[in-house]
Amino acid sequence: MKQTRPFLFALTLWIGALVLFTGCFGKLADNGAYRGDKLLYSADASIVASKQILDVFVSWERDNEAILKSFPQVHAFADDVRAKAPAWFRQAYVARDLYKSDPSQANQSALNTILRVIKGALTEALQYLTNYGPQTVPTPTTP
Amino acid sequence: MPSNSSATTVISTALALIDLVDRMLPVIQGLHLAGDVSVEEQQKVLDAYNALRTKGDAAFSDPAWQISGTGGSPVETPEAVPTPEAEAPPAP
Repeated sequence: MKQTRPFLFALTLWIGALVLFTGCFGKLADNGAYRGDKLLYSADASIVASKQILDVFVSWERDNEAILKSFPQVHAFADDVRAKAPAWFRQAYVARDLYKSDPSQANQSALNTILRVIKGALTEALQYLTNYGPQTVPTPTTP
Repeated sequence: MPSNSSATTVISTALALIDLVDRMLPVIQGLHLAGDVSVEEQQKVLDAYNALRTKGDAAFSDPAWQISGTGGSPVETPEAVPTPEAEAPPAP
């Protein structure tokens, strides 16, 4: 039997993450904290949302570690995220600050580069949440 | 018929996802696909960013973030961003 709720949750997150990372939102109010800088706003929102989603992913993987042994790639990826995420976020902070102080093409590119890395991890995490959620994980022996 | 462990997984995953959506909603709701992002919404995002930034590596101190085994799936490691170690202070 299909369980659509987890899929819908994941879909919601996909849309949210997509909006954040692509900057597909309206104009920023000029007198706001970001002074109309959509990239900076998108970067900050993406960083915050990514950390929240990765929090849930590693918690989910840890909580279900025993059952997920049937899918070792999930554990391998989760540990990879655990090992690398702190550095990703440190680099995102640095790149964000450099861009804020000097919004040159080079700094914009550096910021986008690290955001792409985080987005890649986020995408994979969401794929695992979608593919190995309750619909799949409880029945590894079922053909 | 799901087993006990299956049920636990279902509940655990559902709770995790509900918790995530709960926490994501303010951020997602703050994004207006067709309208302006208000001053208040911008401030909320900036505050959330600053709160995360202030925590630094402590944001990854939860037990769920501790490595329990050998991982190793290839995740891209960025190289284009300068000074990766330091948390540079905001520019003056």
